Amino acid sequence: MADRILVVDDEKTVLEALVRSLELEGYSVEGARNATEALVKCDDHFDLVILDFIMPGMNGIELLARIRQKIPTIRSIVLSGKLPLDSDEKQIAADLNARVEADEYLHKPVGDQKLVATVKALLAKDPTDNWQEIARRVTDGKKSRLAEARDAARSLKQMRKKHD
Amino acid sequence: MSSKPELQFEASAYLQTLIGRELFRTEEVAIVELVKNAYDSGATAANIVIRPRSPREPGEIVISDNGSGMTLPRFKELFMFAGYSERPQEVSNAVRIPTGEKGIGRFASDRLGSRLQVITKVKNQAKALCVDIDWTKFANRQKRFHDITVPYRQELAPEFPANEHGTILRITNLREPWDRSQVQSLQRALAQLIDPFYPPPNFEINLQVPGSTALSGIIQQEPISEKEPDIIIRFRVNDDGSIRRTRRGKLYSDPERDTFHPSVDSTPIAGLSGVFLYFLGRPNKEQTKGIQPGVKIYRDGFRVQPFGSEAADWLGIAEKRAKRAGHAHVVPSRLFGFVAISRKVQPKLQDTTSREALLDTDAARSMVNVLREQLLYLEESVKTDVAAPRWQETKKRRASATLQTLNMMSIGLAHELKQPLQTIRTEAAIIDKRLRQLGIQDAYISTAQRNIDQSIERIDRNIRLIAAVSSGNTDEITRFDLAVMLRDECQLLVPRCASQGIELVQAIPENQVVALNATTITTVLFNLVQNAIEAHADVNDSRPKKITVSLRKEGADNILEVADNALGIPDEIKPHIFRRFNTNKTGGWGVALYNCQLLVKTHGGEISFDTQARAGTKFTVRMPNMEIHG
Repeated sequence: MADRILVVDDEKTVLEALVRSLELEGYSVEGARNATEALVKCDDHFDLVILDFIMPGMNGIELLARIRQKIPTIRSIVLSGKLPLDSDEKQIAADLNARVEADEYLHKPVGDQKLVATVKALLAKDPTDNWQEIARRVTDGKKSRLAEARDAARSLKQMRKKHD
Repeated sequence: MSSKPELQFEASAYLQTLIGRELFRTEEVAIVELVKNAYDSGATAANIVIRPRSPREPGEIVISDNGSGMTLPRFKELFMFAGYSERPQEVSNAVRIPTGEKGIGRFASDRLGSRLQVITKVKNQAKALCVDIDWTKFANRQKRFHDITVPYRQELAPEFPANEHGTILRITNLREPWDRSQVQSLQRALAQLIDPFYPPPNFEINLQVPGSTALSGIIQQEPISEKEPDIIIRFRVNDDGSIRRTRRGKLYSDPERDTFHPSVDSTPIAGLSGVFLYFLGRPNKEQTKGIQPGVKIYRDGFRVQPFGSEAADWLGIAEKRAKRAGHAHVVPSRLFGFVAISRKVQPKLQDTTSREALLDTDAARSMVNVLREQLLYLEESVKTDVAAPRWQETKKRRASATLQTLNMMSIGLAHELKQPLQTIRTEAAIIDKRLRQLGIQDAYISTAQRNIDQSIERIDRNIRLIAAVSSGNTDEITRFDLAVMLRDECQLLVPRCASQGIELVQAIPENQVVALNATTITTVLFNLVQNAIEAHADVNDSRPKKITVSLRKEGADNILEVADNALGIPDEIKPHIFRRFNTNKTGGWGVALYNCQLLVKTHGGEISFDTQARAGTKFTVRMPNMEIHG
């Protein structure tokens, strides 16, 4: 079964182009124009999500965190249209966060070859390799360490089962 | 021997009234005239006592001095002989330089009151001479001057004990009530009459208003502190007519001295000295010590009216300003001039009879010329050292505003362009991919796709560059080591060059501390190197591709150079290289070069280039160190 990819971008033409391009690569691709739509779609499983960094309402990183609550193993690519040396400090912080949080961070306009290569490489990785990180996502860093460990173990089990 | 019949002039008694009331324009001038007489008599002090007129008091003004006093014969000669004065002859051997020369000062008392009592006593005489004059008697056109008699007596005067001497003028039947405001105005007028820098030597004016300590006291004029004015021009006419001049003030850290010959012969006024104090902003009272603006003349410590008064624009400063508004740089209300002349040193600068102004002589014209030249010098100083830098500043601000507007537009545009570029790029790839999937392998289509892709990359680079310029702080000046910074920047550029097969050579000194805007430097360097990389893209021959970044110092300027050994800039492009949106052979970097130039110019620098066909291009950026604010 083809890997499932969710593309989230508020710009219709960009969204459609990305969806079609990835479909041509043989993936099962769905598009979402905003965070709400994306979260609804994430009731189903996706292997990878491509998010626009700057979107009205919720930025790509906030949305990614919400999606990861639903699908902890999801791989992520943030597409940033952000310009270098932006003087808005919030933007700079959010951008730094995106670089840390997302599995990959690419600048718009990204070349098709580069995007496809990045998608391929991410999908080739076993998401559970980084199980501690996934555990953290699930626990959201809020519960006690004990609970965290238990949940982590549980989610790991769950993931393995799904994967096999 | 036959005697020819002869006629003689006779003066009507009324002539006195004409002189006394008409020639002395104001009460202040009249009092000053009498004070000057006291000075001329060798006194070290003149006391002015004013008892204002009131319902109970008739009021009087008493001006007394401790000068030499007069005997009866001397009184007849000096006081009673209208128009007689020994003073011009006295000048050469007098210890003190007399201020009066016309012999009419005595009539000034008529301006103040109709009755005058003179009590005068010389040294070593027991009795004083007392004379009572009723000026109203002279107001008769029918009588002759000598028909009016003046009674006198010689008696012991309680005012002058044994060894004392001097003259007392008691003026009664005052013409003015001398209320508080009038005394205050006299106080100010007297102060303004004294040269603040060179007051009359060994002489003191003491004003007493019985019952008022506020109005009583020594009259003095504090000079303007030389720490306050922005421009100070001091000048002196040498014996040979040359002028020695010094320029100092807050605007100048070091005094500038020069000696030169003015355009008009200045030997008649040799010894004249003066100072122009100029404030760039409106000075406050504390700074001016209450002195009114204007260029004033003081002779032997006493002011010569009306020079420097508000109404007398005798050097034509206000007129010039009125005519040329923005181009006349000297604002009359900010100029305080003090010119010192002396009856002894410049005898040719003579008073007019009214004691106002000077006779129009060669010497007077020469003085006006010298002062006008100093004024021009002041004007030139304001122009070059204040106005021009201000214009420069305005220009810079305008350039900076233009840049900011351009940047704001650019950054908005850049954000906006990213989306369609992404679409175009992806769609072009889709066409290529899809056709291949459909089994159509077509070189044209693949090349087109590749070309679109490359073009988009180029557009994107431009966008990033503009954004970099736009968002960087292009105003702040900081001190940093430019050599270290350039080496760091080059480090980032090396891989970019290497990927195009270009060697990045650095000729950067160990250290070069500068005070500049860092964003400007990084932006300009990035641009120029990128430009050079682009230039190499057209080179097809086998020579090793090279870009050299060098830094050096030339005086106060920092010289940054970026040179390539590519093909050079074609002749037809050269004149347009820094034009906005020139996108021709410069590899689409027209906006970038335009922005670079704008940035460099904003910071007082220059950017130029030198190019040779098939040998390469060298861009030279000259940046002077800037002042660090705050």
